[in-house]
Amino acid sequence: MNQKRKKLSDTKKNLLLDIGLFFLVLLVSAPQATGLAIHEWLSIAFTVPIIVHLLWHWQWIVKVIKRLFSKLPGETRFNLILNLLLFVDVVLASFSGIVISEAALPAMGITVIIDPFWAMLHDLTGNLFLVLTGVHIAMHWKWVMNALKRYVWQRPSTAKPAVVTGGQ
Amino acid sequence: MNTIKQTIVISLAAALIVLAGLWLAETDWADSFRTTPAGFATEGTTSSDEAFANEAFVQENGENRGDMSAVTRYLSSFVKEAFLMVIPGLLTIGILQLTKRSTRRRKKTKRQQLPEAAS
Repeated sequence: MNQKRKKLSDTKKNLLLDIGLFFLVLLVSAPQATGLAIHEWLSIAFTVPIIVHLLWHWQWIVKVIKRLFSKLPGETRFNLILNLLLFVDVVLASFSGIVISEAALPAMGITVIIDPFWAMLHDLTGNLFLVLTGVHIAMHWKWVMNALKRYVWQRPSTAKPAVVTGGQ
Repeated sequence: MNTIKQTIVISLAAALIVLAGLWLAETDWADSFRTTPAGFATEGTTSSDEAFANEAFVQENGENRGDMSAVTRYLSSFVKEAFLMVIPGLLTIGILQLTKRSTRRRKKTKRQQLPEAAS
């Protein structure tokens, strides 16, 4: 029973982090709306929840990479390739963003000369990041909907007894 | 301790990607972006005609931005996001459903064929 409760709380933790990440993605990807300074500082802060997201899914990453050359379901293999691409893309977008920073780095006393190559790469990886994130969310759509149904759309009257009986 | 190790592995993987990016920045392909008109503004080597054209472009662009209300700017950036995220997402969900349906159908026909073969 305790194990079941722990599993549920893991799902809740993941859901909260993923909702936070989703809204961060929306804000970070709209510099015209938020302004350049907020875009840059949020992007720097964005690395922390991404690392936490990776750490919380570490077991899956290790398990799938170990089985990469053996028999793996097509969906899992696709997920691995997609997540690898997403990681490469996020790293390149973040680094190119730092290299062409106009607000965050100058605020720290570091002046940068904007290189058109890094600016182009930042645009490209930024747009690709949105596309890959869309596919990433779609691949886990069933999990997202189930978790939302369980924790967000569930009636509180039905949720409370389950927690009480689980603790006894 | 495990978390620190895992974070180091993630950082090392990120460092490798950054190194690959730095190597890419040194290639001729990357240089081709530095010689395009977009690079002129930062290099400061424009002729007077080009400078005039650039100024006119900036002025026109600035006026357009001024005309654009804040709400339109907010909306347009979020519409772009939605477009880039939702379309691939919907396509993925559609393809996933199609593949699941076809595998289910294949399994069903296999199950139907087995008793026939046995008899």
